[in-house]
Amino acid sequence: MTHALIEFVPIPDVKPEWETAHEIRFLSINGVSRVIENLQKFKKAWPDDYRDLLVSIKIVAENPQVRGSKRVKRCKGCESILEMKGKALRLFFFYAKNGTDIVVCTGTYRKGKGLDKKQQQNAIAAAEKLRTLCRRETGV
Amino acid sequence: MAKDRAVSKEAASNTVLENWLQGVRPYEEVLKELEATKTDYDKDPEFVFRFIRAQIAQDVHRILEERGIKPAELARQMGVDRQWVNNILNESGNLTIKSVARVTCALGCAIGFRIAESGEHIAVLPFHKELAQVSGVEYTQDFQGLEEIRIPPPNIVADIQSETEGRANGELSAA
Repeated sequence: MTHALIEFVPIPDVKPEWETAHEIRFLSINGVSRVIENLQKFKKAWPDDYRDLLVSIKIVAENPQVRGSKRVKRCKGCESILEMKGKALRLFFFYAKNGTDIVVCTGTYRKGKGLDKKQQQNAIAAAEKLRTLCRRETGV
Repeated sequence: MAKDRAVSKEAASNTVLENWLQGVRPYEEVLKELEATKTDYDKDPEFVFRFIRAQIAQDVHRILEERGIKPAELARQMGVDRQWVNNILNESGNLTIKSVARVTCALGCAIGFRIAESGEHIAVLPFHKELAQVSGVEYTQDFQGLEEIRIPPPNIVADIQSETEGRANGELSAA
């Protein structure tokens, strides 16, 4: 994939007035995005957890730096990727600059029974590879 | 050897991307569905409560970090057990206005709870008289050098600004 069309797209439930410190965007490659696809599924299947994830998103949007590990955590073994936390839902992201400070959401994950560590690690590894691709293609 | 490694890295990267893109609809299609079920979470009491609790935790974290105070030290100062402070920092337990007041006062900080019209933004900012004069908003002197600025909804700000600019250009209203 040498010439991917990379876009950073706003999430409908994230209000622009929240974005005082960071703009929250999901990553799209060639017009598709697994992030927004999964967020829509999460909203339908686990509305309460999705609401909790949105609290974390609003905290990231409104605060220049998020402290503590309740809302945002760096991923183990991959310092450049962070995760916003709901109860079981996770949204992987990285900080970037694209004129303004933005947060690029690259992947999702749901913790739960039957899901092993390996799957989580794969999701983090994918997020890191997508970050590398974004940097290479867009320079953010 | 190094070339082989680079090629296999590229291949792995491509596999990740292919998996990421596989079976996913165009995002515009998904956005249409999400737009149809778009929720104003700022009107959801449970969301508002969780957000306020999370923001208070963030503020306490930040102040403790800036001052180099450990949660245990704060707990000792306040005469409460460490779990009480941890409950605030970890957004657990029962958060009451009284407990927020206690921790705020123990830190020697100020807090403002205000209820505003939807769309009206209230911001407590460091003193910026020039900003208030330029944008035409009203301001009132508040505690400890902080200034409370009540910012009308954006369309009103735009009206005030154009009026102010008009005045600066010598345009006077009939009044």
